[in-house]
Amino acid sequence: MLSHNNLMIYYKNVFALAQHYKYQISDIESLIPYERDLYLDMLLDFIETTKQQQS
Amino acid sequence: MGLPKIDQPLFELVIPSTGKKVQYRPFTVKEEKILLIAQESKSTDQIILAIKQIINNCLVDVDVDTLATFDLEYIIINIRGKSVNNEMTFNITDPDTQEDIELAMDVNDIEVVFDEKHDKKIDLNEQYYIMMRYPSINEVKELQPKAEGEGSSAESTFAIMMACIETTVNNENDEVFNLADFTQEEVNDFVGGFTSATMESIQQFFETMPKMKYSIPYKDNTGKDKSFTVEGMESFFT
Repeated sequence: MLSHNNLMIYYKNVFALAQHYKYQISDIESLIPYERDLYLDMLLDFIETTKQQQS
Repeated sequence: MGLPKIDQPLFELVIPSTGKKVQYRPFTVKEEKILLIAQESKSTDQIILAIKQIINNCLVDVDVDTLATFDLEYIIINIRGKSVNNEMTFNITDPDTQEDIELAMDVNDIEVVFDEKHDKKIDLNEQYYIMMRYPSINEVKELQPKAEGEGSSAESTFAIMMACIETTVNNENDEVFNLADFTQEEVNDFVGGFTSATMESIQQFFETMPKMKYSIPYKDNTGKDKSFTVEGMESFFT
C-alpha cells in the first residue's frame, strides 16, 4: 500500500514518455513521482483535447 | 569539495525516538524505482535495504544506522507522503464476509504509538539504573523468532538485548558509565549480576517498544462496524 505503482507500470510510463514524446529518461528520473504523474495526466488531457479538435 | 547542491524542496519532521527536528527531501522517480524493485522481490531484507537507501539519500545529516525501526517506518511514510501523495488507498478482504473493501488513509494521521508501560530507564537497585537504547533494524531482525530448523537464536537475542544497554547511572552522584567504554568481559560480569526482576524489565522494554500503528474504521456488507489495523513496515509495503 506504500506504493501506488508497480515496476511494469513504471517502465511502461517511462518508455511511453521517452519513445513517443521525446522526454529524456534522465530528466524523467530526476522528477518527483507526483510531478511525473501530473505531467502524464496533463499529457493525456492534451492528447484528448487535440483528438476532439481534429474530429 | 563544495557543498552538495539541494535542488529539491526540503521539509521538516521530528524523529519519534529522539524528538529531534530533521530536514528531508522527497524521493525522485529514480529512487522510486529502488522501492518498486524491492517490492517486486517480496523479500523483507530487500525492502529494508531499499528503505534504508532511500532514507539515507533523502534525510539531511542523519546516520540511518542510528535510527530505531519505528523511526525508519515513520520517516519513510512521511517521505512517501511528500513524494507521491498524502492519501494511500488499498483493498482488503474482510475476514468474515470475504468481500473486497477499499480503504484510504492519510499519511499525516499516522503516528508512532507509545506504550504506557514503556520505559527506557530501568532501576537496578536504589543506587544505580540503566538507560536503554532502541535496537537498529538489523538488530530487530535478529531479535525476531527464528523459523524452525534455523538453529537457536537465544544467544544472539541475549547479546543484542545486552548491547542495547547504553549507560549505567549512579543516582547519588549522577556519574554515567557508558557501556561502550568497557570490555566485553566487564560488561558480561556486570550483566551477570542482574536480578530476574531487572531481566524482566529489559524484556518489557523490548516488548513495549513504540510502533507505527494506524486503525481504519469501516462497515462490512452486513453493516457491522469493524476496523482494520496497519502496523509495521511490511504491512505498509504489501
